[in-house]
Amino acid sequence: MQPTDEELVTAYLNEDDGAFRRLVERHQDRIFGYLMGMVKDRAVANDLFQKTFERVIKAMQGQRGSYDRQGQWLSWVMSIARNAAIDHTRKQKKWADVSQDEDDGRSFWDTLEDNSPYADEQLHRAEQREWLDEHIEQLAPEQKEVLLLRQETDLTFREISELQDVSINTALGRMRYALKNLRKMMEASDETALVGAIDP
Amino acid sequence: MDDRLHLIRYLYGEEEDESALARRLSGDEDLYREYEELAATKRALDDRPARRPDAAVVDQVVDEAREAAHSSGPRSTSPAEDRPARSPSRPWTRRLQTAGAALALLMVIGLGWWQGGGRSDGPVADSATPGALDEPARQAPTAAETRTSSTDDVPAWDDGEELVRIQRRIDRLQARSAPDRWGALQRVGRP
Repeated sequence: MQPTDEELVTAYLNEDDGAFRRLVERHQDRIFGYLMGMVKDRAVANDLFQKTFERVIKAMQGQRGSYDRQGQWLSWVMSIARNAAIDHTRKQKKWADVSQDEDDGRSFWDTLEDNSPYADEQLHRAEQREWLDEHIEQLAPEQKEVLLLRQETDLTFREISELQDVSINTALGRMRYALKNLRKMMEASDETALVGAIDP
Repeated sequence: MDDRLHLIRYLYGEEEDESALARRLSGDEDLYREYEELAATKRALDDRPARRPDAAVVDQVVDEAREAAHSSGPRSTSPAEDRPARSPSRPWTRRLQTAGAALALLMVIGLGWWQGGGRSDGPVADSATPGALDEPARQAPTAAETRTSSTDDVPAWDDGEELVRIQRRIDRLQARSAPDRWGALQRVGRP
């Protein structure tokens, strides 16, 4: 039986070194997926991931702030990750005129061809992901965030509404519009691709 | 709550009364069409591969957590131990210290007052009870000496007549200098 997040937190505070690694590995995809969706840059998302956990560690050790949300560890960590992402986005807006970096977050090794049997499938999925991410990026910020929080981090709509300080109906409404708008964009994109394929 | 919001909850497995929503879906074509569209979009989102941070970043985070845990020591979840009981004499010690300090202050004030009073009353005590105060009496001056020393201590010009004379002189000088100042100003103002 898998230990709960709270059991791992207690074990970590009692100097069980492996417990924290299990916590991070259990939730890394969710937290990093959300950060990637917010900042669209792998290097920045890695940096924000690390900053988030620096704050988490300090708070858990009682050095700065405190962790007292029993049973909601991921939700608490996500609130810290969200603040880190918002801080970064604000700074980016401030320096938007200065930075002209077009980096897509892929390292040199990511650009090399993969000759494994599943390379085509992986490439297709990666392209599909990129295509969807571009559409998600075009959503209204509040719709995009609800979609990322629900889809990537698996927080409940109740937890998302608490995180965003809105009613649960507002959070659900934003999610509905996010999915509907995404659907429209996908259909429009498909039609364009189809027209492009037929048109000589 | 609107049925369309219930659909969102249903899609993500948060709807509490799924059977009621299923009944409404079967009786409402528009609602069912919306459900199918939303479900297709969700499937596309679910199919995206997960993204993971660099392994080096995870290792670094775990190392930081380990260092922080070892530097702060284990945290017990059990209640903290009771502090040892205070000794019953502690309040009395504090009270005695306060009383001692107050007594010392009173003694210093009393000594100061006695020394100041002793000097001025010295001749009276000397004449009333000669020999009663051996050492202080010997040190204290006689009434004649006191008078002499008091006149010696005061500057020669500091007597009543001299002060009156000086004051009159000042008044005269001020009376003389006042019209001159006024006249000087008037002269400056004339063409």
